[in-house]
Amino acid sequence: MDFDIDTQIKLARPYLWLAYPLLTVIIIIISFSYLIGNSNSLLTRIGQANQKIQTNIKLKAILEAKLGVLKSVTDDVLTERLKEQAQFLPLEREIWTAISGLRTVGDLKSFYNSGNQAITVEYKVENSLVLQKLLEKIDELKPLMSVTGVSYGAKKARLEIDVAFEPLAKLNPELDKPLPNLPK
Amino acid sequence: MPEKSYHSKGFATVPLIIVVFVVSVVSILAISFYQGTKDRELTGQIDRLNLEINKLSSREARIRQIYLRQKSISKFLDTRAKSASQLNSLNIISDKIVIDTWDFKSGKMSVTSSSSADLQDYLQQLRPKFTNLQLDETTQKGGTWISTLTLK
Repeated sequence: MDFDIDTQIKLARPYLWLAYPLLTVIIIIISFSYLIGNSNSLLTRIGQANQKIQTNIKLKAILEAKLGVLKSVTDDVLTERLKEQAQFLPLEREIWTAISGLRTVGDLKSFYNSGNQAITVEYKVENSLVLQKLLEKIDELKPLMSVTGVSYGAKKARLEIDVAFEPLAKLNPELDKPLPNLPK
Repeated sequence: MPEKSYHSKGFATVPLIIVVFVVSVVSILAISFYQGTKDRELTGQIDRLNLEINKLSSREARIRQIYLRQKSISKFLDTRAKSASQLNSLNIISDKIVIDTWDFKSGKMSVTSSSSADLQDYLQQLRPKFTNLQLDETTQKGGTWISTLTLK
């Protein structure tokens, strides 16, 4: 059987119009795989970009609030606050400040600094009521102290006292973290 | 003729599909473009804010330091030994009892009283505060009652 091109064209002509919709469908399918089809598609990237935008909106709000706080205080006020806190919680163990404070609250007879955390002091006290007042006064002293041991008897009280101190903390920059509220 | 009807049907549907497709593509591209613009704008604002914050970094460090130290102060106050309040609770119960000795760490104490009834009353009032209160010894010398106890 001979191949006659004219006959073939005549035979195919009724279906030639199909080329247009078929081609359109193929282009659409290929385009959709780029737009929504895989993990790297435009739609996925839109989702990721949206997440990034939401994160950045939150970060911007944090930074704006932080800048607001930073601008609302002065260096002098902050230095003063740190000094004030250092009276309660010194940067290092201030034994002599503690001893002179302890002298003011009662009849201090002796003290012993073991070099450890605690110092031992001995007071002359008339009775347990006087001792109670003494302990209450010690609780109000600066630097802060904790009376961890009390041995009372024969009008004497031997106290073991922890004196509070804490060196400055090493702080790492936390750019994306909100600033804590300044304590009252 | 069937050829004509298929032909016209095909040509009527395809442009519609193309229009929907083009609208979808344009919308997605527009969203993508908007996001790009928004992202650049936000990044710029964040960079500017960071720059300003960096200039005040020493102030930020002080604020964080104050915050941390205040937390330490509060923790010390909350957790420090409550010796004064314990003695207060021992003193407040009765003025007919004299506390002769008291050891805060071990909880050992000795009390004297002129009557056994007062001593009994004192111990009864102590029990709700120290549920495992232990009466170690009670002696009488002359008219004085002496008890040694362990507060638990």
